[in-house]
Amino acid sequence: MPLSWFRTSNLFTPYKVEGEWFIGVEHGRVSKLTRENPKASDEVVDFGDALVAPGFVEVHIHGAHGYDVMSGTLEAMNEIARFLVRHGVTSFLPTTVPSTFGQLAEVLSLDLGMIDGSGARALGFHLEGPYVNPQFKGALPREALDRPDVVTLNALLGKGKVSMVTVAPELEGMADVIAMLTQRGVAVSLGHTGASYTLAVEAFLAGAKSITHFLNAMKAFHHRDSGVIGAALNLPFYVQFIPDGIHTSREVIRAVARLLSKRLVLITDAIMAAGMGEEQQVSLGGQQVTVRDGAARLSDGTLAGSTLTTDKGVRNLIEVGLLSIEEALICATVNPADLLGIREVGRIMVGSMADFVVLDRHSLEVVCTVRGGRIVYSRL
Amino acid sequence: MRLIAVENYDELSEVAAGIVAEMIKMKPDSVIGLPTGRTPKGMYAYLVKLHKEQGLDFSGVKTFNIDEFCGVPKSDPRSFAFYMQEYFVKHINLKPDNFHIPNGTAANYAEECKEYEKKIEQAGGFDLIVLGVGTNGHVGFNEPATSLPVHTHIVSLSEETRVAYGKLYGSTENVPQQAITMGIGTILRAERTLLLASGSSKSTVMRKFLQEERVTPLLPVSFLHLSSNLTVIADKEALGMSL
Repeated sequence: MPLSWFRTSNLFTPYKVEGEWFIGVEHGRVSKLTRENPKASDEVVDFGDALVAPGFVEVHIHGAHGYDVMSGTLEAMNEIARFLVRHGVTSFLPTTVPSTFGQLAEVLSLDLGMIDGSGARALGFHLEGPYVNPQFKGALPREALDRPDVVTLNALLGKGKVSMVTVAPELEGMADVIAMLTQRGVAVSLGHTGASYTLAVEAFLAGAKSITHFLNAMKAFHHRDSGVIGAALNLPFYVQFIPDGIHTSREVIRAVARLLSKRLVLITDAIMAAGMGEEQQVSLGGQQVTVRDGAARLSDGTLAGSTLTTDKGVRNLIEVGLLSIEEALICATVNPADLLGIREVGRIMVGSMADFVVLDRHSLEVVCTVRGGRIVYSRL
Repeated sequence: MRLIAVENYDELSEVAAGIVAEMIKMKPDSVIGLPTGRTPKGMYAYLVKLHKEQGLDFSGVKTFNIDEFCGVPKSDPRSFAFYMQEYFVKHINLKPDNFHIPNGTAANYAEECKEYEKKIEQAGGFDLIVLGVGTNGHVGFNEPATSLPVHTHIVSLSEETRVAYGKLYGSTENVPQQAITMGIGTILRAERTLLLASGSSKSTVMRKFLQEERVTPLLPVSFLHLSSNLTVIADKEALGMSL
């Protein structure tokens, strides 16, 4: 018998299903989905007509709430994880920036299983670089960028659980790196790159699955030399995208949402400044970052991550991108889970983790977050 | 593994053909393993279209079909050789010598299996292999069993498979008892693997395959978890995207 029940008349699995549903949870997983009333003796948490969806999956986040993944401390990871559940995220990939082997090794060796259960679960690390193109470094520290090296990367992968690596396919020796990562089941994402269309296609055939912050820090689209952007339009890459209205114009959010929503992966690329107010001074990879009106920039004006939260991103995809609620939820749940090849998060079905976000049906603000069947955040 | 979830069969066919086409453009002398059955028909139609409308060039490509019925000549519409001619080969510029399929009427099947395996080896192995999956989890004609041969071999078809083909061939009696198929080892040596699954009849097997990351000869498709570079294209029905 399920130990606990959640009820809603507005369920998105993330596919909209009509009517009243009861979600039975046992040992942290969904064990039943039914329209029938549980026994009167069973405990039922009733969300009324609030919208219940799978907890969001965030694959690109460097920090939040004054804490930075690169500090490598359990405290920072706990704080980021707790910040995330307040914004509906129940699974995430803490994301590194390029640094010395020693510092990266130290960060990766943090046991993600130690993060306490009141925050989002860390599925594995996302290494953004260090094998990216210095010409498209964006806000990554130039001195820490490196040439592809299978031996060094293997050593890093041995330090901890790595789920995704962002690489620039045009660097010499990258073919071997992409093949090795694909064989090991690590998702390869193309970013900080000036690769040609052909090179991007070759990377796809070698196993690269996605594009990191699509349109940002990559060669611009030219109609006779369309690069990674052209490849992302023609081939079924997952497209990671920051819908904050700062990294691209609002018109581009709408265009990307319309063209690519089926394989769009909502990312925030948030840094420690997220959740800390609109104006402040913080750091990223040892560099000074100034936040003004929510935009985080280096002193030369280069965008340095974001202060976006995933729930706000979902609302932006609906309000600015003109997606339906269902389409926008898919970008924050099933799509990132499929990109990672993980079935047990990002969907509400029998056997999946009992990770839910509960949204106000009008404002789509997060009112409650459930992780493993336990309420970890509530404004109710 | 890379999972590409698509809306429907038509999109699956177009996306699969697009990936095969990019492979050929990147390496015009690609060696490609090819399936038959209901699922890949649409992919072949799109590849023929890419050849006719955009000049996709098969002149350097070598293909090897994964399996063939025993005792059925290639002129027989039930044979996979016939299927391949009908849906694909006669519409494109693949050189006849570069099209390979096990000989279903070979005098000595054991010898034919050995020869076929050798031909694949001599071609340099597969750059890409395209596969379908049976409702019982078979790939090629590697049927669920307590053990699976590594290389190309003769196999007795399961009742489930014969009944399924019986629907296409008028009756189960019209379906041969045996087939020649590449082994799981032959298939796993491919540098890239593309698995196609369409329709609600595949949802149970796909759930087992995707959800349980374990390998068992009772679900032959599960061995694809060992592929070094696997792409799965599945439509919503095959993924059972509902409650």
